[in-house]
Amino acid sequence: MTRTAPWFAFVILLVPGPAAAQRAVVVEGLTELARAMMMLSENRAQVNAAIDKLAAGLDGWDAQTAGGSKEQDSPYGRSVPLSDEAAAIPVLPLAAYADGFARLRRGEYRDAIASLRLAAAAATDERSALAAAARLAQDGRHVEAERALRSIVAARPESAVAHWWLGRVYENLNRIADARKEYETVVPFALTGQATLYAAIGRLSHTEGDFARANDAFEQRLRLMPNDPVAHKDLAWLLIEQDRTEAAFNELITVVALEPRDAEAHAAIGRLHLDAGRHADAIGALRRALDLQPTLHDARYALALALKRTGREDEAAREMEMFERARRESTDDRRRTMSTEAQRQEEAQRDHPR
Amino acid sequence: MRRLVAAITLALPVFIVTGAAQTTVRFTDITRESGVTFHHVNGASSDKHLVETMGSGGLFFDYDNDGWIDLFLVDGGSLGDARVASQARHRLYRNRGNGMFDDVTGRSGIEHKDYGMGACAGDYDNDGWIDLYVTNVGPNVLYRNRGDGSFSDATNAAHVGAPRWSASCAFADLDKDGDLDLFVVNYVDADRQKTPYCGNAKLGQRFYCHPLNYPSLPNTLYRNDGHGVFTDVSAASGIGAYRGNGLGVVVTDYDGDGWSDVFVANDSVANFLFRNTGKLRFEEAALGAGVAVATDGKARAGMGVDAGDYDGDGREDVVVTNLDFETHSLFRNAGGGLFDYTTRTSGIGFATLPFVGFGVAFLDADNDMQLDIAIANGHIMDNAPVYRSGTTYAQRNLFFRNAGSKRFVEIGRSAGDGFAIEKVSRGLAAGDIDNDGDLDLLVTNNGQSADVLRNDSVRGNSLLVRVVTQTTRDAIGARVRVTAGGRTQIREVRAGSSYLGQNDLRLHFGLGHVAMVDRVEVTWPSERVEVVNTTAVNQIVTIQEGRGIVGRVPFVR
Repeated sequence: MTRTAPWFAFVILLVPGPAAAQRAVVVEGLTELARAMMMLSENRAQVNAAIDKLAAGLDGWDAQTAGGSKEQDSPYGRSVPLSDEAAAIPVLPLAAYADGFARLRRGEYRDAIASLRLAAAAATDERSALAAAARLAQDGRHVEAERALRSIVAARPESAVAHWWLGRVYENLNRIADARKEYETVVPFALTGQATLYAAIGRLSHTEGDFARANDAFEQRLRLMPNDPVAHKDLAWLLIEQDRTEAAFNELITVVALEPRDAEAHAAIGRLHLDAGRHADAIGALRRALDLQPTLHDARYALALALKRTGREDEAAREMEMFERARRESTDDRRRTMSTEAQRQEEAQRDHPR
Repeated sequence: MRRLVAAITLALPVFIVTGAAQTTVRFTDITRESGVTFHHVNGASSDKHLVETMGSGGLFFDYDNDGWIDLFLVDGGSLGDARVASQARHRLYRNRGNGMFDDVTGRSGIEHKDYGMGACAGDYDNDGWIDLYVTNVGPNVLYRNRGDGSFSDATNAAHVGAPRWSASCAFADLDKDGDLDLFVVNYVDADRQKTPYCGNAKLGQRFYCHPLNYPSLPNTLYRNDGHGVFTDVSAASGIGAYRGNGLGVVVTDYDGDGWSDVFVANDSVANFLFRNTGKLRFEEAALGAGVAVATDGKARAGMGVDAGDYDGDGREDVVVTNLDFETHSLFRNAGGGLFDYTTRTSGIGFATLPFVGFGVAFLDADNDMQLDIAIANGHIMDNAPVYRSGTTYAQRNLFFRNAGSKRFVEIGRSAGDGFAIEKVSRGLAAGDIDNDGDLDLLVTNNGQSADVLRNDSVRGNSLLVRVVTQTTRDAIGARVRVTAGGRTQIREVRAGSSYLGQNDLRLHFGLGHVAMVDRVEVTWPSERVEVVNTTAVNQIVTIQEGRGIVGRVPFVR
């Protein structure tokens, strides 16, 4: 489970309010609780400590704002949205904690704490079974892992962690639709990190060729993270594939407004200009892309075409030559990679004849 | 008033959408009644030899010169199982004169010799009888038409039996010396005995390998020496210096300089555009022309290719079929040796995204004076859903109706039961099998029966033009301009295009409601230009070089 460590590099942000110090405690409590869930640790003291910290943060926050004019800032006073910003992985509950997490999402903090304490006091949960299944998955024994996880979700359908693991296993088994369905099941349970889940759902829907679903997922992701350039860019790629070039163009413009050094976005803008016959604009955008990232060789091809169409033959020839050289090297690299992979599979076949 | 404006505004998009979706194009599956019973042997095995999923093709040609196009279908075979291989048999079907066919393979002298891929047909010896070239995984075979309904194997005498894995081929008089040269597209250098393991061995998921798992091959150009013998001039011509994974070929004079050029669709590496500089010398011009890769700089898995003037500007544009999630490619000829990548702006992009395309043809299916596009699709992976869930091995074919203004609308689902078929399609050829003035289709399918699709579209007027040289050979490479109803349409005579096949050599011109053709201009391969004024519509005219119209046959309607 050590591989899971980077997943916890998330920050849960609450709406700005006067109780910043207490908010930090809340964030810490949630982080520790999430870690305890995902680490599948059987150490209940750790869970209880996290819930204590969370409760203390919320109480402190409440105390600071009680009776004051800023009632709306009280965490107990209303639903406080939990941001998806920088959440690399969803914060997901085990089955016993589902009710507590749902209440946290709704802002019913007192009830949430009570529910979480009850869950922590319960004798058993799916932790042991999940840990065993996770080990199978990490050993590449995906079919066995699937079987184990299926039996967990059959007994505890609210186990978001089990559904999430199942999604990952299905991805490894190349069962894209099944993986996507598991992630869709997880979304309502996720305390935070919903954007990450929507990104996965969008990616998998795209692989399935379900563009309507992919569009919807990427738009939901943008609703949660409107200032994330990557989210805008992913949507732009999807729109380009659907020939929705104007909408894609707008998304790309947003990307470069948010992240002016995004070379890929500049290059894509250049290509859209080229396809539309706006050669001068194409040259500008493609040059900018290559200034930012000179190794973005594919952009040189579009640049060369645009230069050629504006009569700048010498410059076009130079760019084309650089593109051609890079393309040849890239094809050779692909050949080598494929050859190595085929050899690896042949060895695996010898070791695991079927 | 405001309400009225709102109602009109709301109604307008609906009207436009409805208008775009309306179609008069209809293809009827007549395979069963046509007498074509061919069933392709692919030799599919657990060894996943790539060839098992790549073939095979077929073509239209009038081998008996009776004015009715006949049909030739290439069979595959098996690389590892001699018993399966022995079941493979190419088929020659003779057109009975009504669009129905008789299997005449038995008396044709055509034999299945190796795993068959594609074919092209041209009268290489100028005797007035069209000959046949069959490409194989292994030595290709040239069949000389004896003129009595049978063919003899002339491969060794003609020196055209190179033992590579060849795919498409094309006959063309590339040096304008009066006889047909032969361009053979070669795919990859695959070991017949052993195929790499591609996939996930632990999970037991084995897929057909990507072509980059194999060494690429150069194409072959045979110069016709004029006495039934060819010389391999691949190296001297410049063609041999370029290695690709060639699958499709079309010969077209894209730059209008009077010399036929050669476009090769390459699988997963950049396409080739061999510009003919004369004297059988070629320079590779695809990158500079803008047809090597898409504007994103990435090579596509080029399979089939055709050329046609879809926007009516007098220049040959190019369509290439590719893998799923790549989109097929449309390159609009902008003149000056340059093409614009119009895939996304033409309506070809998103509509082709889920499909693995192979055979492709520009054709005016509804005789409305605009070139439409028909595309045969079918996945590469026989276990496609494992490879990518949501996809299938068998796929429906696509029909793009030319909506004018350089736009296409995909109407396959409403183009009759012929386009409702979902198979693992490979080849697609267009030709008028019943001489009624519209283009029917032949679709070949991997490991399945072939389909004959009769065009039952609402019929406009049209003209079929056969152009022959002084030796009565089909004038491959001739360019014909037909002016009628204020429009000029161009066509080139091509012996080889699409994927592993060839269309009817007669040129079809849809004429809509126009009742009289104002002018037919033929630019012969010899560069001579000949003009025929005012011709009636709805007939097949034969124009012979130097003699004008030498034959007229009304359509059978």
